Amino acid sequence: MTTDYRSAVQEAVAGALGLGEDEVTPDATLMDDLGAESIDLLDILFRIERSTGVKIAASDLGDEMQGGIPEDEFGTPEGNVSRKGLDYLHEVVMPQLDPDEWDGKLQAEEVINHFTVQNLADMVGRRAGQQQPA
Amino acid sequence: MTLEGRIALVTGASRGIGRGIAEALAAEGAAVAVNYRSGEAQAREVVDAIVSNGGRAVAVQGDVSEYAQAQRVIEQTIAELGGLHVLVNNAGIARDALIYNMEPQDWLDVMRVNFGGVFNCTKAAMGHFMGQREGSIVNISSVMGQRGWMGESNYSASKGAVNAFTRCAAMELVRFGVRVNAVLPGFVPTEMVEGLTGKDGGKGVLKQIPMRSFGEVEDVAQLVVFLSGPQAKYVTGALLPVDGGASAVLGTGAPL
Repeated sequence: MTTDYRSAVQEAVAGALGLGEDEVTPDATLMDDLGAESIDLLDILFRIERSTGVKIAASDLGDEMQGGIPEDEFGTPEGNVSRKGLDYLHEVVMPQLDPDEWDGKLQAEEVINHFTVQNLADMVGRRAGQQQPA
Repeated sequence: MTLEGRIALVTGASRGIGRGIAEALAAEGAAVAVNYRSGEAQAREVVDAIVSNGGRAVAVQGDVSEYAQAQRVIEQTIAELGGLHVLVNNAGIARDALIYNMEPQDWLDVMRVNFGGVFNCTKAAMGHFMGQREGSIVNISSVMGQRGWMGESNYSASKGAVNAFTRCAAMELVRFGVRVNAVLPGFVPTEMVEGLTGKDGGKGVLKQIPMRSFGEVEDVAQLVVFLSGPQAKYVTGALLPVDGGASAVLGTGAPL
């Protein structure tokens, strides 16, 4: 089991998408830049579990991004991510997202499109810290 | 032995084709979980037969038409035998009747066991297979899923569903190193189909089978052994008949 989560994620993404590891740069977004679809995401998460022992279910990804903030506080009635949600995303999940730039402009369902290789590696690292050692 | 070190679960394995499959897998070295719903004594006999031949087996109770029970069957197999590599979805029932006379519950019961059992066990086992990037699922379907037969509309529809599901499951699991195939037996005289093959010594059916003989449980079991093991590593999404040529023929295959 490796604890080099960046390399583990790059290897998993490259393997699942049939890309060279040099194409899987840390700031590449999984969906938009690399073209991952839902079955690819599932494949990536299982590969990561295998190499790192860190288990993230595809169905947990949304919760993980929302960080326990209730639905009506994370999003606005118009379906955008709230300021509170943007601040959380910037602080924890996606530091590259500037809350000032995206305020009132980021649709909740589009958050996943900004999720990068590095963001996933960081998430795996956070999860590893929370999991009981086997 | 091709299945040395592998662990298999066969649903509905206390009798008929399921029993034959459990014994054939064990003969190739697999440890086998013999699932049964109500035939505990028969399931124990299958386990004893395997153990007395030097194999490893346990009996696991559970009605696979219920998802929670299917989950428990999978978990218990993994806990008692130490893993799972091969899932044989064999449990099946028949409730033959002309559609005109068929009770609505008769199609639902058949669908819940024959297709529901396949869905439930596949879903319950797939995470384990995906995590280890290894697994072979063999669904015991029927040539009736591809062709029609009087009085078997519910059974035929349930097996047609199994065939369609087999292809889709093969697509979704191929990325994870898991293969999914179906075996389609023709006429194999077991308790379940004795109404069909028992009449007149089966003459009315036999003359429609190009090979002029019924299949044996072992014929089905050996194809399952092949699909379960490494020799079939490039085979997935396949629907393979074992029927003495029955489904190859058009009409009777010659002028009457």
